[in-house]
Amino acid sequence: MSVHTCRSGDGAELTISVDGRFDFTVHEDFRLASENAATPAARYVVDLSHAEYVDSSALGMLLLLREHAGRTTRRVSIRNARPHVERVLTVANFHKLFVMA
Amino acid sequence: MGAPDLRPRAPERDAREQEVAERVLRSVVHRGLAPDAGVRTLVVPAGRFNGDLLLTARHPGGRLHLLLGDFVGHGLQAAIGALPAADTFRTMTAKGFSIGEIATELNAKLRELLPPSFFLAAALLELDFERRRLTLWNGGLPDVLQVRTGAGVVERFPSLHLPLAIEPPAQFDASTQVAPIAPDDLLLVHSDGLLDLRGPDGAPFGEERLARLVRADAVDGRLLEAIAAAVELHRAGRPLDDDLTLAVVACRPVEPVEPLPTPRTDRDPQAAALPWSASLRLEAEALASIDPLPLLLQQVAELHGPIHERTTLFLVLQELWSNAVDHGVLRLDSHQKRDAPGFDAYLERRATALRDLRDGFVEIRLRQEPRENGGRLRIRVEDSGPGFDLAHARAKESATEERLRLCGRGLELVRSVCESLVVSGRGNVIEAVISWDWSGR
Repeated sequence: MSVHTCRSGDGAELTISVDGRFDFTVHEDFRLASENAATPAARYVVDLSHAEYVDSSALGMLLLLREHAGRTTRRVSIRNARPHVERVLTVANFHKLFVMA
Repeated sequence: MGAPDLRPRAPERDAREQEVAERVLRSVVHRGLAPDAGVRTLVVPAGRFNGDLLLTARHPGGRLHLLLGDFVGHGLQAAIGALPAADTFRTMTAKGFSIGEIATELNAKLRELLPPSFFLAAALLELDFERRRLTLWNGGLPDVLQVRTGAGVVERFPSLHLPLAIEPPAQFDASTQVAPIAPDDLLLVHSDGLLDLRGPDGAPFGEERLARLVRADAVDGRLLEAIAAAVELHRAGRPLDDDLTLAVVACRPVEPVEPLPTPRTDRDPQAAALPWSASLRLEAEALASIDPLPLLLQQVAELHGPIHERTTLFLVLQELWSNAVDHGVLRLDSHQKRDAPGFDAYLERRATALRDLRDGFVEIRLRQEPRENGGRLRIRVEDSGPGFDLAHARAKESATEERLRLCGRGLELVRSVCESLVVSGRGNVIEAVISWDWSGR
């Protein structure tokens, strides 16, 4: 499976890692990972260190996650994007919606 | 966005619905697919429905509006937003709205219609051939390139905004990039399908390859063919992962291929003009936030004014309006506009001055009179400024050709299309007269 989740020790932070292609093929897995946690997380981290590719559907999934996390807050951060993945996020100006780290 | 939640259905019903949907979309979207002689396009869809959208329309002032958009995902789900987007883009352009206003409306409308994970990455361009000016809004598309023969890429216009349909209307940023254009320049607008196109070895097409092609072949009539050939070579017969759409836009004015639509009316358009008058006065705070031109144009149309002369009408209203605001109320010196850096500085000063404006007004009065076989429309624009000496300004402006390049062409242009142009008051009142005559037509 190319979508993994990991809770921080105190349970407040949920990290979602996507490996390989981050596109419409992982849509259902990504949605389940972000929404089916037993208790909602206070913060979300999307770890893209192993994502080789993102398409516009992936950007749509990130928007859904942001919606789920409560749109007005900057509670979703995106980490470790590779340069070509980061380029896609930059062209879409997603740093205005997410914390990029 | 992923697979829509569809219950299992008979395949033939699916196929039939696909066919109907495709036909509807084609009629709406493709009706405006580069009908403009100045725009040449390359479109390579990945699926049956192209997630990319390319629209062109002519503004009443003769300006060219172009929208290149890339919906999330592909196929039918990607094309859902195409109908309202195309409709909004065409209607607002025809009414004389600017691309910033159109982007604002598209954002609000699509956000309301589409689920939260949908968006439209798009670039909207406005080419004003009279003023030789490009106005551009780019949210989520790759850099728009301005290219010149022998020089390659001379300017890049990157994405400065989030794509459309994401931000709530109150947070939407409609600010545009503005640049001077030369008649031989070309603009290259494309969806990310081009740069991301994978070759046999997995290498993307990339910016470098595109820049090399542009340097070698930045000539209208050759550039598109050169890129198309390079795309074919690079994909080597394999199907595309993503839609690819590219437009090469000439910065030289080309006559619209389709005539501008004339609004429907049950009154004989050639009947004698009706007598009426109307006025609109905008005070300081309103000057920064209200664009009166679509409103005035609409009014003239409803009152059976000379809409058959809408290009002239728009040109006159636009020039007199911006002259009154820029030089009357804000007292900006247009000679600052004569080179590109000065032009940028000018626009910045204009924006600041408008924001800080606490005092001043512009009043537009329209009066239509019938005359034998036609009519006459008087457009009188008064501003609160100290006034200026038209004869003096004209002498200064015609001093050098260079100065005419970026500024000062406005009033000369108005004079050339009107029956008369008269300055009065202390130089703060201008009246232009447009007249028409149906005899001999």
